[in-house]
Amino acid sequence: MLRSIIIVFLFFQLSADIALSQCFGSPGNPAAGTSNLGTLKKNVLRVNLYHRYSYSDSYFNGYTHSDFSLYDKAYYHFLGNLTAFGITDKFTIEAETGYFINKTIHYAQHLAPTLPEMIKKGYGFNQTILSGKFLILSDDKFPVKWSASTGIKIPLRINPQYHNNTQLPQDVQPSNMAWGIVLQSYLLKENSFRGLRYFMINRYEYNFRNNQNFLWGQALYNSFYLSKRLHFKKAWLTENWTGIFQLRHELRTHNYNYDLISPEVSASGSSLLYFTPQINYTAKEIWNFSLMFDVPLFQYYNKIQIGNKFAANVSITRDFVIKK
Amino acid sequence: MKIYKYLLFLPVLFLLILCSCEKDKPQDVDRPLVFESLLAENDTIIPGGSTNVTATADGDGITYTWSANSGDILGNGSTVTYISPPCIIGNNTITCTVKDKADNTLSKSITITVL
Repeated sequence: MLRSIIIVFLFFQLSADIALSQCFGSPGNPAAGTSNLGTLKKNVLRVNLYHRYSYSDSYFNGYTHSDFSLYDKAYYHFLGNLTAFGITDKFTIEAETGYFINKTIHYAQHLAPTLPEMIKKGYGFNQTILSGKFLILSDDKFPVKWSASTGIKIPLRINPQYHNNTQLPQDVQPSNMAWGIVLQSYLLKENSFRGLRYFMINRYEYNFRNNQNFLWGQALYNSFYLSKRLHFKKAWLTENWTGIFQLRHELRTHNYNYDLISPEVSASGSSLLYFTPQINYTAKEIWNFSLMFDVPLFQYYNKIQIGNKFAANVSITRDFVIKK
Repeated sequence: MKIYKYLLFLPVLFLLILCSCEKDKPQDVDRPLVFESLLAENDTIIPGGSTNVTATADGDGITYTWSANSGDILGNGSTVTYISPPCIIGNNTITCTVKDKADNTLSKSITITVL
């Protein structure tokens, strides 16, 4: 039973990570788009690759849409990798890394007469998170599993990116250039009679001040998932499909720019709620393909920030058993 | 176990890539590098407003590098356009560094007040 649970790969994309805002409301960069639910079996190597596209084109002021327009639109293509290895049945190490194929902003057309260029693009690696995950509780009778991880966030660049000798805006920098700490908790509960599974993932991120004298806000993510095996009438479709509904809340505190007289960046920090449907297909118990969409249900931003409109992920995962 | 053998080659490959990166050698110059001025069309702008900033320097093969502690810089060369963040009131610093063919560098900063 648990074998099939473990292969369920949950998208845990921290969409607010990539929110864009001319007001420096952008809280950073994505760490990873997916999440292993728990620990892996000993000597199992899991490799996940995913692509994420996110699009934004409207500003918010608090709860409401704002007429402010500095960017007409902002979007990115992001490639991510999560590699995990089971050291023992109760301890797994993980590495999350991401690369922006592009991170682009288009300035508003009404500014065209005054601006020498209308598009800014950044690209490159953002950061790596190295984590150790422990299985704390596992009870097959109940059944419930609880694991927790602690990790260190390592920036893959510590200086801003330049293009044509001009520093790129913070909103298109591929990395937030900050070291940090990531704590996560994973809880699984199964209802065998209804074929339902409930998951909860909590994630806390703390960033240290980077060498640009900038401190990104702390972040707390709480995700609740409901998954169910899907059954189709066609025989060849059965048993391999899983539908997942995710409700995710993302809370971010203010950023601080210590180069300014008043360091607190008032237009930063947010409280966001997302609904995220996801469909998984598992083949031969070692391949997993996933597709998901992020739909914002509720968005609150401190002062004026550009909000997320939608995001989509596609992911492929493969398990390897490393024999000794 | 085969996978481990291949992993051993990764550090060697990384070192080879590092060694292959050679910087351009500095060249001799006829004129000394002089950074004369860094001026903004408007040193006070509204939040979300913009202004042109111009650097004047003399030397051989000068390049201009721009950065700001807050806001966006658009364009390149001796004149760029600075856009202030719409929600940050206060003093923002723009820095220009000029470099000549001999890799001599000089920097100047200017403060744009956002009211």
